[in-house]
Amino acid sequence: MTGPGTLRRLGAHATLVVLSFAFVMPFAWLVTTSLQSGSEQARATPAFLPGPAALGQKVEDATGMHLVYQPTLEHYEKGLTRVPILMFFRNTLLVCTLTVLGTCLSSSLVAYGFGVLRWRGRNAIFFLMLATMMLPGQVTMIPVFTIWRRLGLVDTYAPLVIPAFLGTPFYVFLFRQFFLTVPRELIEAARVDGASELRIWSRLVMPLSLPVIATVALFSFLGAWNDFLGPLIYLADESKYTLSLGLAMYRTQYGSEYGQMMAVATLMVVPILVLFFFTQKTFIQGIKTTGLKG
Amino acid sequence: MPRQSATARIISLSLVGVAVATVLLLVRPPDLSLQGRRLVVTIWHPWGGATLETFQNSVNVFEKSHPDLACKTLYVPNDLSASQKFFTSVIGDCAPDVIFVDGPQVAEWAHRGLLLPLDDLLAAEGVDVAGLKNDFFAPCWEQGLYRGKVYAITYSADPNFCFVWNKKMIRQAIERGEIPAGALDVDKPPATLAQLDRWNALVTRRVKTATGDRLERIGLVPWGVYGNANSIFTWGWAFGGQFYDPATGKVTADDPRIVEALEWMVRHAREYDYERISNLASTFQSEARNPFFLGQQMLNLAHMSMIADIDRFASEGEGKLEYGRDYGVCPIPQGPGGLNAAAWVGGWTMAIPATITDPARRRAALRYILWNCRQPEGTTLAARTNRCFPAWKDAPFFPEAAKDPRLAQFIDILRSSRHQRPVMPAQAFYMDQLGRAVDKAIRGELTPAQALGRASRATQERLDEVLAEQGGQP
Amino acid sequence: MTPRKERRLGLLFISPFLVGFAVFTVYPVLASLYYSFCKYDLLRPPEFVGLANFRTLLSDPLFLQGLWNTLVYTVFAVPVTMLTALLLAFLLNLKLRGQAVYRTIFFLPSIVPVVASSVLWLWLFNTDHGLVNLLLQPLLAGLNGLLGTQLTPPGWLTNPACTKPALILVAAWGVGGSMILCLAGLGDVPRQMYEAAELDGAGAWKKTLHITLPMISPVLFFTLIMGLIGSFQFFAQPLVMWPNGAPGDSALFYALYLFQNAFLYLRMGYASAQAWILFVVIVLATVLVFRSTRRFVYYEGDNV
Repeated sequence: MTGPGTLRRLGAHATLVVLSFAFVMPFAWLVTTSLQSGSEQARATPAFLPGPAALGQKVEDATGMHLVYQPTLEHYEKGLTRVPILMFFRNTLLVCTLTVLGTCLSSSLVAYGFGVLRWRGRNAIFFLMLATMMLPGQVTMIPVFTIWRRLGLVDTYAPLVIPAFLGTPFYVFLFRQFFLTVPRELIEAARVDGASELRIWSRLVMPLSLPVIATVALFSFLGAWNDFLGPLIYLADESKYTLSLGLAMYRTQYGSEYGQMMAVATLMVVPILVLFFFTQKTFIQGIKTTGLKG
Repeated sequence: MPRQSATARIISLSLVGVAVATVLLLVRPPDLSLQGRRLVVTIWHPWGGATLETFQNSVNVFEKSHPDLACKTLYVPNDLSASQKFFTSVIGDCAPDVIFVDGPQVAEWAHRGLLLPLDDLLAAEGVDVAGLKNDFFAPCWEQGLYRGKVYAITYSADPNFCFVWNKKMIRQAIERGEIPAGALDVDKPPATLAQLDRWNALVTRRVKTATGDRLERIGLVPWGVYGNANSIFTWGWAFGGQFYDPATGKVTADDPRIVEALEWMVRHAREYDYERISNLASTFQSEARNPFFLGQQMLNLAHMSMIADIDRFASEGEGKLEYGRDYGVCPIPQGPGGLNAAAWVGGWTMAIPATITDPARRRAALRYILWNCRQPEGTTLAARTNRCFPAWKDAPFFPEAAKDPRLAQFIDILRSSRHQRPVMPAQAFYMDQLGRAVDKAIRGELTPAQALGRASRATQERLDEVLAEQGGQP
Repeated sequence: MTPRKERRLGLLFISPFLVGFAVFTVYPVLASLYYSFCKYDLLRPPEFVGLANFRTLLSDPLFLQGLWNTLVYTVFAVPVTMLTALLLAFLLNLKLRGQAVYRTIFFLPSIVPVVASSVLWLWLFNTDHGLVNLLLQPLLAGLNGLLGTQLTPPGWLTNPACTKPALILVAAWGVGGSMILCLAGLGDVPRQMYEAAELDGAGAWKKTLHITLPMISPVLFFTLIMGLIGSFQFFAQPLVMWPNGAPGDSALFYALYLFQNAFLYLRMGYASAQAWILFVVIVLATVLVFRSTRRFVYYEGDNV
């Protein structure tokens, strides 16, 4: 290793570490409040670091405030029994799985129609599709609801899941942007070989787009995981509720349980965190470097 | 070939996904709890957090004493998203049988034809409506009426507010010499607004830092009483003002006495620097972090839920507060001329959506409402859920609650209060206009008279517009 | 392939969208357009009033305030978040140990549920005790000492001039999604192109300007368009940070006022008129961006 290279690397690490502190803050705060007892939260300046009680009295910062508190798991114990979180977890998993599947499948097909196939009028329809995102949803919500009601599908997961199978403009746009970068000669070559368009989509374009598929899967999963208004409006049976609604159940006018809410929120974040950590390489394996020119 | 294997991976992943989804769909256990009951009452409610269990418990008790009925409850959060859900359900004709409506919303929703008038139902049930009126505290009963009809019955009486002061912190400040000894007697709270001003001046403490002054301790923040709008209601009434004249339909936010109240608030904002105080007051982030029991705010107006919060959160460690010795609870200081008019009542009501047409369901819903609002067992369990009082005067909950001297003070407030927020179909709009007027005045953008005049005119215009629309459903 | 066949195939591929559009979009959109010319309170039948809603809007101070707030926010938030996402992606794309950890950390704010993080912002932005000002304090004190100025820590939550910067900071925190997209774009740049450029003696700056940025321009274009559409409709975060409204209506955004009109004041017709004005604004802005960036967005597939 040469000197300047090592220095540059150290500089990059230092920058990343400093920035990490800023970005880890929301999560650290979430975890720490989930571990604090009620009376700890009611201090003028709550301590931030969990640790043994004996240490709590000793470690102080420059202004004499204590920094270490005795963590407790009471919020986890009480929070998990108060609300049927496991049932909500199962419901959420069902909605998320179907949403991710539907989105990856339908949005990529639609994007192929817009981005790979060349036909007159495609750009006009594409812009029409984008335009559907530009009208605030608040004013179309009620007519949309009445349609689902007429279809007899209110209080089922259909209104939450079926739209994902009908191409979501956001993800269609995203897929299209990546499909447009697929070298044209590859597609032409496949056509010359006699491959059908569906075959080119499934055997050529999709395999080249794994990072985008992974990204779309991640985004649509998170979208469904955190969706609050959709399940609230369409579900009318508590046994069908999802996690994001379950999380809201810790709030009320007088007597909210913020500690328990933070505990459950932590449990909601951790699986995604772990999943992300182990799959993050998928997002950045460029298509042209892995699939083609290797 | 790598491409082949990638496709195979996608397909197999999809298959796994479909399989998981199918399994999840199939293993859902059938709901057996409602079988064998004659009628199911659907109830949408906002009782989450610590009140979730008490509410569920009250439902169980109701079911036991009403074997012909079963309850299906659904939690709906207490914010605008609940309105979205309720409106869509009414339009889609899939509304619940019973909903909880925040008191001030009743008139607006009744005017729009969202709620069912209960008079005939009550009569059919053998309840004397005129007699019912006398059973409830007047402001609580009033907020459920619109144009002479009963649209909702009050479920929780929420008396506002008591004055609280942190004796412990004030005493410590006197010991440290920060407040001159003899300047105030910690056991004799301010009785008038003039005395309150003097206390505010004494307890406020600034400290110098490298980047300007910082307030370390403050007194009462007049606009910090549960939002700008609730603040001007409280002080407006304390000064003897009236916000609305139901007889003539006139919005009177520019009542000279309300202007006077806002002028008093503005003087306070000038004297102590509006932004600095708001900074300190904004440390209020959750029930656990109230600047009053964090020892940063010496004087405050308290909602009755703060009593339970003090017991729960300031019960150990550095914040330990004991009633009587460390802090006191008393009525709001008198307004000008010895006026005691600041007390008012808010709270939740229960109602039936207008789209419920089945007489049996209507009747079942009404029985559930009456049980919660006017029966011994129901009101007690309801009060434990909503953490306020029943609106029914003879509820057995009162003698039980009065044993706590702090809650006894709030019972006095409830008994003496003559106000509820204006009953009119532009109430939400009015609240926002009032809040805006307070904001503009305390930041010096408009004079109090200008700000309230604007709020009054805008609301009047909106109200007239609403009333002119081809009148609400009968 | 004949043009007609390709067109038939194209329509076949986009048919899921066409079905969804016909079933779930056409009627609601037309309905809301009709409501915008009506007095409509959701429950009683809409009453046609012509252009009255639009006329009233033009003299409604809150509508104008909301429009102004939204424009200011969009003009600053979109570039700030894009730049943050891009810079973070550059950092995370370096060949370093522990990148998996860094990537996960930078993505964290995007997955913490909003209900849970709402209280956090109040705590971070508190003027006297908040972490943001705690970090800023030494800087301000130093400046005051050096220059003799009277700088005081900003009142992020209480000063109307500071609330929008606070919201932009919050937005910069949550760029995880765009960051991932930029990373995906960066990973897509063929290594051979860099090697070729290096042979030509190009430095890091030249490589970034002439290879990296053009190659990831489709992704940047996507983030730009989506950021634009999103920030014009922005309203959830301020509602969480100031449930009773921010001082001086400084965080009353267009979509928030629209939402209040629709579901709090029960003026659905008025809200629909607002929605359609916003729709036109966003369409114009998007067309403008499409036109003006055409030159800069480079699609490899087009280059044949």
